[in-house]
Amino acid sequence: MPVKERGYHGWEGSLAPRRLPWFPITLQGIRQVKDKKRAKLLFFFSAFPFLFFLIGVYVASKPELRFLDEITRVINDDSQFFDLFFTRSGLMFVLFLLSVYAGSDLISADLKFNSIQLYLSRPLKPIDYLAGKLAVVMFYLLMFSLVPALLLVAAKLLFSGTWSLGFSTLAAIFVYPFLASLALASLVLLFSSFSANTRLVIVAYVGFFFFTNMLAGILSGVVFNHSALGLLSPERTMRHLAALLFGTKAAMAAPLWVAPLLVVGVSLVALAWTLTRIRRVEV
Amino acid sequence: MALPTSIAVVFGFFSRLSLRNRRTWLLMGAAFIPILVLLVARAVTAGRTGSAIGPVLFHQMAVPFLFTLYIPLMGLLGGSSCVGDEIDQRTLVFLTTRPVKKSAVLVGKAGVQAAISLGIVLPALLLSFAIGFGSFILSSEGLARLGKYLLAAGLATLAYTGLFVLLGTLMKKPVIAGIVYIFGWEYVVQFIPGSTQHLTISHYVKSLLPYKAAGEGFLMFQLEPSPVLHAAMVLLLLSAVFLVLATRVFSQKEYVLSEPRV
Amino acid sequence: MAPVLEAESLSKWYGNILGVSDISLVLMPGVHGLLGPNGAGKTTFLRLASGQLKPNRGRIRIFGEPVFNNPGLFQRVGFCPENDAYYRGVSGGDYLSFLARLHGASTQKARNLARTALHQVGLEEVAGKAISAYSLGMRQRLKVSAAILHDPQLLILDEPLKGVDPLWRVRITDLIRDFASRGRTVIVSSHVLPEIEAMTNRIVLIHQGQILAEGDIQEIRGLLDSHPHMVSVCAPHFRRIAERFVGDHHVLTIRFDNVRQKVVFNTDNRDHFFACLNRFVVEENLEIEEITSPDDNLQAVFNYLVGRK
Repeated sequence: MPVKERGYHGWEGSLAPRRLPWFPITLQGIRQVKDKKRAKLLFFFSAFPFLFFLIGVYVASKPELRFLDEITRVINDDSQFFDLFFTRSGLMFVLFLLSVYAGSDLISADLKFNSIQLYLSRPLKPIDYLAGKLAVVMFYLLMFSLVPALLLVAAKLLFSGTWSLGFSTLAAIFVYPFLASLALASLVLLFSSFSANTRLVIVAYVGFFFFTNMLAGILSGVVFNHSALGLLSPERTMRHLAALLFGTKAAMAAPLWVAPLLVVGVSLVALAWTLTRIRRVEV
Repeated sequence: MALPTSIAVVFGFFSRLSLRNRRTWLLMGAAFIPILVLLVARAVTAGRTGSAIGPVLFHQMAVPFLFTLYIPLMGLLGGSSCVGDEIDQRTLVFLTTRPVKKSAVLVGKAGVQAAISLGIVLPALLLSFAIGFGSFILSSEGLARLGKYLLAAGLATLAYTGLFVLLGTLMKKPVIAGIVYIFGWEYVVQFIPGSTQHLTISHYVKSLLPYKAAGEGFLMFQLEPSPVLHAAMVLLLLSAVFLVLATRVFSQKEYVLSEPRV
Repeated sequence: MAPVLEAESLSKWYGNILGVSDISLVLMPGVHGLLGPNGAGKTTFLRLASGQLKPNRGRIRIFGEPVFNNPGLFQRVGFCPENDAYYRGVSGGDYLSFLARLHGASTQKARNLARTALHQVGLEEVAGKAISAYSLGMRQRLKVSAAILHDPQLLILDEPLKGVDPLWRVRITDLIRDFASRGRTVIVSSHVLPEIEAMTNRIVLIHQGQILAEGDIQEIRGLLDSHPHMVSVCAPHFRRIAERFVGDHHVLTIRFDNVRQKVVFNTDNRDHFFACLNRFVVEENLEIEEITSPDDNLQAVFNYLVGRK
């Protein structure tokens, strides 16, 4: 019998499990985000911090622009430069917006259209589903944090002609965006798993960030007068983390090691909580 | 059917629906979180001498929370939901194939959102003021100041709701644009010289507040505030213009009910 | 008599996707079945007819009036959309009362109208229950009741029998026929031919956004009967069956499938073919495992009509 006429039941092979079962979910998600309306506009604006710093690197390499000595000094100090790039350049707001854009509807839309059941009726575990979704957000966040940082490293090398980057700074350039992206991605997915209404998800997620920031300010500045309470704010915690990784001056009086612990801890709790919510969906 | 009657029928139905919605209660709960924080903060600072901590907490915690975060976000969620929910749930057709003007539907629904926001924001503000200022609230000066805060909150709610109702009728995904407006434009404009700040709702809201915040933060003033009456009139006018424009757009635009939206 | 619905060179597209193209149609009172496979443009046409969409070209009028943004017209028009959509947290009774109030009824009258409409679709006992607790079929019946609530002159129903159980299919069909017998107009869409046949003999065939045929169902049936049909017969002695048909001039081709032990006939007269088959089976006491008509569906008719066009 020709193969084309043999039906499914006639096939005697066995289905080999995929090594990365979540990968198709990621690919599909990346495509969906890219195809969203106004995605290109958002991506264009998301590149602004990078472009701004790229110009800075170029300026610093020009002796005729020495009147910008102070800026040049900062730009040439790799640790300070990348700390600034990651935490003070508006990149955090950009990453935050990207996490909203790419991640807010990833689970909530599946809840709305009852498609989690469809995923889980395939040879996929809830953790594979979550990993697939997490990778989508991580992809976009790293695309606009790690990739531009590496391009800036390349630009520095090209414009100055010498390699000045220390190993610890280089490692920090990889670790910081990874941890920041992990934290944002896991939090946005947690919020996304709370409701099938994506608008509510976005507003709650945004409200959470700005409220914790406000709360950190009032508790650390007025009520307890202790800057360590600033760790309640994700934004300030990320700055603290950058201070640890890049060896720059911290703004809070809290021990530096608390920041990575907090970032990883919050990410893991958020992911575990999201997983519980996914498991609760009846197949 | 007469326009006011249609609006009343739509308002009645959707206000009942909203009160049964878990989301409304969730939002109400969220408004009272800072009040809880205020209570805790007052308890912690009870024995502290020196400057009055209550008003400081009110000005630095309750006011920024309500005016720069809660009211705009409530406006965004409520305003964008007026049309957005109907499209997401594909129920818009039930309203647009009845003998009522689309403007009545939109005004009725926007009215519900504004009423819910006001119903949450005003008591939250009142409580925060009471916790912050204590017995001062009973004095005529205290009452006058509270009245100004309430007026500012009320007008801010109307203006933000109106703006985001309009955005919701114009755009398929109004929420991200709204966030960019609230936390991008309104924030960035404070650093732009000239009278660009007049192009934000927050400028007029801030102009109505009786207490001027100093230093950094969302409530910083780079520009002289507008006169109170002027600010109040502008906010009222903006609310009306946004709503009229929204009804125009909603009446003329066709909504295809088959794609999911954000 | 003035036409109820007039469409003139009506076209609608969504970006690059064609919804309907250059449709011209005049419908008089009575029941009209809008028939077509999925994606044919039925829903787009009905959305244009119910004023949810604006035509890109051409125009559509109901009772001589334009439809889009003309709310007054809906005092005389009832529409049942295809989507399974409903307001969460509201009961069927409250929902219908609200709709009746939108038609200008007082609170008490609205309740009465809601009760009557719910009774017509057998939902009066669950009137107080939340719609979210209804089954799909019950929600479908609720949508039908919402369309007939105000006793409209024109009823537009998009796939009204989808998800409805057999008993209520019959009752809703009767309801529609009864409605039309009072001089009203019904436009009902479906992709299932027998569903439409049960309601009317006036049909409009729509395919790829265009009207393919319009008129009496018997004429369409005639087309169906005269186009070549495929009949597959699975039997242990399938070659003996084939033998009996070799000389039959209504059998155009015969194809064997040894693996599945079946024979596939192509015939231009289905009724004649089945009469012969029955006779041979009885005469020779043949065992038959399965008889199927792989192309006996609406799509086949469309393919045939498109091919002829």
